Amino acid sequence: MKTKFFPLTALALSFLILSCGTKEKAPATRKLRYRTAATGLNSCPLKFAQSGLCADLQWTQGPTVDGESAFEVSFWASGNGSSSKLTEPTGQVGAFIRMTCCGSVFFPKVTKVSEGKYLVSNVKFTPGKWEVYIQLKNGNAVEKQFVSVNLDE
Amino acid sequence: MNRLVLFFAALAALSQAGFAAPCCGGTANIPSLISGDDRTQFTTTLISSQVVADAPVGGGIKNRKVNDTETAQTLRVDAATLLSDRWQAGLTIPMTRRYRARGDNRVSAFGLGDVSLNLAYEVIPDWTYSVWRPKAIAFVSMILPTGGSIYDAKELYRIDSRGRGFYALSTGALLMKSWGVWDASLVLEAHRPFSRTISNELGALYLRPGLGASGSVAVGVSPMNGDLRIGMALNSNYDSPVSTEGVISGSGEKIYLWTPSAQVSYLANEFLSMSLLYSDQTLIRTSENTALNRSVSFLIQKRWER
Repeated sequence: MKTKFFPLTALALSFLILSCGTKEKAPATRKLRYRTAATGLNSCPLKFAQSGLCADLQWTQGPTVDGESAFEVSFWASGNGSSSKLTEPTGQVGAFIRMTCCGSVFFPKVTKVSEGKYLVSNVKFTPGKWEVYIQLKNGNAVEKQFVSVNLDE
Repeated sequence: MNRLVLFFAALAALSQAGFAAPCCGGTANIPSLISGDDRTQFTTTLISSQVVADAPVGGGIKNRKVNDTETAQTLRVDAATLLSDRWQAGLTIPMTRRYRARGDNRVSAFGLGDVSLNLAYEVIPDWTYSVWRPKAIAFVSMILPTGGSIYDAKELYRIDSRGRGFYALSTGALLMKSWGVWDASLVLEAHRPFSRTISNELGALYLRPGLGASGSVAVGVSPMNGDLRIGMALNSNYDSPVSTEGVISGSGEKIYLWTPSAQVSYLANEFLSMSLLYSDQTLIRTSENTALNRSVSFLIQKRWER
C-alpha cells in the first residue's frame, strides 16, 4: 500500500508545482520590427552589384512567429532603373532565413509571380532576431543581401 | 547497506537533472550508470517541464508572457547491464510530447528524442575501504540525432524539434563517495558533436557545432540510515556556438545553462527505488541563450543483483 501511494502523491505534487510561477502580462499590442540592411538607400534597398540589380521586399503575411509569414521580392535595374519597371534576374533566385543566436538556417518556398517578382512563402519564425536573405546564383557567382527582422518580443 | 543502495539509486537522477530544454530534450549528457553492486538496472523516468523564461544572449532572464505556454512531457527509459566485472553497456530511449500555446494557436508534437548508447568502465573500484578514495566510473556515449532538431523542424514554433540534430560523442567520469549517512558525487563530461550538411537548390549548408562540456555536483543525506534520502544537485552545461559555412557563413552564440535541483529518493526494497526530483533553471541567473524550465521528474528504478 505504501509503495502504491507514493508515486500518486509525487505526480500530483509535480503538477501542482509546475502550475506555479511568475509570468509577464501580455501586451495589448505586439510590436514587430524589421529594417533593411541598406538603411538610407531608399532607391535601392537591397543592391546586387554584380547582377546590376536592386531589390526590395514587401511582407504580404507577417512577419510573425504565430503563423506562416510570406513576402514578395521585386527586382529592378540599378542605376537608371526604376522600381516601377521590374527586371528578371538572369540567375536563380533563392531565399533563406537565419536565426542569429543559434546559427540555424531555414529554407522557405520561392515561387515566381511575374517578371522580376517572386513570392517567398512558408516562412516560419520563432521569437528572436533573424536575417532574411535573398540570394542570386548565376553559375558559380553568388550574391546575397539580407533584411533584419526582430521578433524578440 | 540501505543508505549505500539508496545513494547508488539516487545517482540515476543526476542524468535527469541535466536534462535539456524541451527543444533539445533528447538525451542528457550524463548517462544512467550502474554505480552499485548490481548486474542489470532498468530505469523509467517521467519528466514534466514547463518553459517559464528565456535567458537571452548576453544573460539575464525574460519571463514568458501569460499567453505563451510551452510544456513538455518525456518518458525516458534507461537500461544498463554489466558486460564483465568492471565493464557495462547501456541504452537510453526518450519519448517526448511537446506543446505550445500562444494566443489562439495551439500546437503539439510527439515522438522519439535523441537515443544514446553508453559504454562505461569502473576505473576505481571500492573493493577496499578508504576514507578519502572515491569510486570512479569512466564513460563514453554515442548520441544519435533521432529526435530531429531546430535544423530539421517543419512545424510552427519548431514544436517537432526533440533533439540536438547532431551525432555526438560524449565522454566523462562519475566519482562518488559516502561517509556515514552523507554522500557526494561529481560528474564531469565533455562532448564533441559532429558536423552535418544540409543540401538543396541553393547549395550546401555546412553546420559545424563546437565542443561542449557539462558537470554535476550532488550531495545527499539518508536520515537515521533509513529508506529515505534527501539530496541536492547542481548541473551546468556549456555548448560552443554552431557555425555555418557554404550557403551562409556565420556563427551562432554560445549556450550556458545552470540547473539546480532537489531530490527525494525512497528505497521500496533492495532492488526497487523511486526518486522525485524538482529543478528550476531560473534560480541561477547566469544562463545564456537558452529556454529556462521548471521541471518535475519521477523515476522508478529496478535492479538485479550480480
